[in-house]
Amino acid sequence: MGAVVSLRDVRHRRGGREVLRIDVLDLAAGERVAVLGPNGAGKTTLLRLLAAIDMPTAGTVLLDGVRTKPGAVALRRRVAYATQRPGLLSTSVSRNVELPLTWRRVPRPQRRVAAAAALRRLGVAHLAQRRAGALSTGEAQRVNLARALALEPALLLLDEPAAALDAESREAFLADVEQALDARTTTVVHVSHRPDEAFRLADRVAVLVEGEIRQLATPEALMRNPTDAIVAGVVGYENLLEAEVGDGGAVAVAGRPTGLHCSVGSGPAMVAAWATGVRLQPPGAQGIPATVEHVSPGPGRWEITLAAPMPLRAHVPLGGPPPRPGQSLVVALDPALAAVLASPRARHRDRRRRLVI
Amino acid sequence: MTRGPVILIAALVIGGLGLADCGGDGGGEPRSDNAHRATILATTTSTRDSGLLDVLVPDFERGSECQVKTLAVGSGDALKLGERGDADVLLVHSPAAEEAFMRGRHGASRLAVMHNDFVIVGPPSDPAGIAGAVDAPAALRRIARTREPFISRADDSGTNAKELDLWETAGVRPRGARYVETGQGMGETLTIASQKRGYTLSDRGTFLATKNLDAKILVEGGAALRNLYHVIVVRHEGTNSGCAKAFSSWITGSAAQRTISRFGVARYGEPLFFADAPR
Amino acid sequence: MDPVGEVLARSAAVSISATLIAVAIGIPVGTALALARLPGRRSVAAVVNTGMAVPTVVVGVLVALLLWRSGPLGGLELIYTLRGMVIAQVLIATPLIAGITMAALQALPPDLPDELRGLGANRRQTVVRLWLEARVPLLAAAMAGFGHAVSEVGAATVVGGNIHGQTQVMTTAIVEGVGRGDFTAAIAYAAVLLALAFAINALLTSVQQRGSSWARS
Repeated sequence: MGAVVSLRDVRHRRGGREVLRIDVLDLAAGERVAVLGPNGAGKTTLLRLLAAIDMPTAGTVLLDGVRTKPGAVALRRRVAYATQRPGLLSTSVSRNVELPLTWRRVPRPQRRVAAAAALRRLGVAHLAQRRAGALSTGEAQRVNLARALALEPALLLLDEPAAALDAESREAFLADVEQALDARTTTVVHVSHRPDEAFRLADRVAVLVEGEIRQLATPEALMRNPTDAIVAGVVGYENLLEAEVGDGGAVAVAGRPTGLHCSVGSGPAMVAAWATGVRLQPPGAQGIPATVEHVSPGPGRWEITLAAPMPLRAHVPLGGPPPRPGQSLVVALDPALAAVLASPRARHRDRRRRLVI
Repeated sequence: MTRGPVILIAALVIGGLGLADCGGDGGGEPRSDNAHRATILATTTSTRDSGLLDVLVPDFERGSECQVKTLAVGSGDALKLGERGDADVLLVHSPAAEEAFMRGRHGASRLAVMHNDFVIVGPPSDPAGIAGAVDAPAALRRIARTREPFISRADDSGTNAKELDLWETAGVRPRGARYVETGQGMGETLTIASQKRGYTLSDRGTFLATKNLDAKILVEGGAALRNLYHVIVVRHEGTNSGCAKAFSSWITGSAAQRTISRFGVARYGEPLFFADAPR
Repeated sequence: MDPVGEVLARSAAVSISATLIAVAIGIPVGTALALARLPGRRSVAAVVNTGMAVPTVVVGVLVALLLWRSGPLGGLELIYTLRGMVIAQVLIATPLIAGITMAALQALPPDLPDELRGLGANRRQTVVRLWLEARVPLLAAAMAGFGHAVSEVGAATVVGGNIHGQTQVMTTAIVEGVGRGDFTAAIAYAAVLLALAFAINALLTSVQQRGSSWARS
């Protein structure tokens, strides 16, 4: 098989509810996979199964071809799980990082070297003698990560590592993490609820919603071709519009042609459109009539809310003059920045999904 | 660090048991079979509080191989312990109860050891005016009539038995808020009587030995106030009868009797007890 | 009454022994109650809580009932001995230590055991590390157990019998002294006990203060 991690027919229940349902998942050695999904989707549950802290109520989790079971400490030690909260112990930073190595009976000189190297990679070597309680959140999170990296694990699990950081620290932190992981061959599974973070450290991204993987693809494929409206929402599409596919495959929204085409068949559909792909035209042009409701400035752009009759959001570069609230316009969709999706009402999707695109 | 916590726990438990041994129960060397077990001597608080046993018991232990554990519980409780076999030998002063004990065949032998007397003590100002009363029952009648506080041990002890006996002879039943029942030993009861400025019945020895009392002997003498001590060897399965018999013979022997008759003279100017055993 | 030094040594020996044993039993029990998901857990926790509330003299009476010659364990000859008193004090201190240990471990961040396991700690390594994280309250538990044991008088009287030269300890000596009107001696012992209580508390407070500077932010 060659996969470092494999899940088969996993059905995990907690408190009487099914919280995770994954038929097939294979991760290759050295791969970087992100798990993206809203809170409560089951991301931490999945990590705990991969870390062999929990056992699936049904199905198997294989690490290096070996099935996880309770008490299999040697197997567990191939995985390092860096939790969301730093979770550092009341001792010095270096002791915190060395402790998991001590548990594995790594001799002292090697321990020291591995710990120091890991701290250096995360840029916190200067904090080695500091008490863990005296660190800022960002510093603590870096130490948390160093602690996991020092183990040189076969599988590294990161649970929302930047969640506790403010916007500025997050950027620097993620850059350092990227760099620290750079030359390593560790398989990484990285969980986040923010698309920008998830995409950053990932070869492939699994979109996890309500315990199921709805799509597993490269970041680019996800952005261009989300499989359904839910994935489109998770990935960040600002507009999800009800549409109709005509007999020739032409897709119309609110009765107006959009310039998009769909080959799958006629009937109801949905169109996901990026706000940057919503073009504002003067009234009378071809497209969907709309009224401007609200205009506010954002980073490098005007953020415009329209009613058309469904709500629409558009981003227009900050350079030109913005429309005025109340103004009537026509809206056209840039086909390169929109995707046609199946309507949730249309067909009963097969529950067993094949994941890879 | 393999079995660290388990070893630590074992060390703690062993250390704990070892330390307890170090404290010393009064010797732990192996003894001959007969005196292997401790001898439990149940006696009255008056014999302990007077300090007599602190002299007698070590004397006995030195001359024998027995180890004595002295429990000062009061005659009534001592007799009950004897009935259950929870004591080996008794030194008590409650004749009526002792006779019932022997009639019930709970005792193997009963020998007279010593006697002293009871006294009625009270506040030096003597508000009830009993000083110099002709006898004890008369004094109690006065106390009852003047409604001065009377403190009773109310604990089944020999002293308590004597006190109730005297009330009966006096023809008065003590009751009410002025009759205070302490349920405790002689020393405690004397202290309470002193604090409450009340009257009480005590054996002479304990009264002399108890410190910080603001009280005086007001009534003494007379046959009614005689206080007789006997030693009883308990007859019960599982008791240490060898040592019990040895103690009984010893305390009625000439050496112990001499010690008893001299006890207290140096400190109080008068003996606290009078030896009774036939020579 | 016995000389002060002897009585003090006896009190210390009995209570320190009892505390060591109570720690050896109480901390593992408290740990199991805090961490393990065993079926009988609620009832054991209830027993521990009740045990903490039982008056010490009641413990003494129960132990005496067992150890008296007429009782089921009479053959062990432990009544009126220091070892018997240690047993009674172990029964008094253990629920207290178990209860405080349970609370201390439950007060740790609830994800901590799983975090440690996620980094490869086996069960023993996890428990040891949790004890180290909770070292301040665990030390407090031991000291509370000792304080309780050394200062109680009911069980010491009933099980020990306050026998001169053998089982008289500080607390029973105080009661005897008061009973005989010997207030000087009683107050002397009381002063020693008070000094001991202050010393324990001062030590405990200083350890707590140092410990809080290690608390995580």
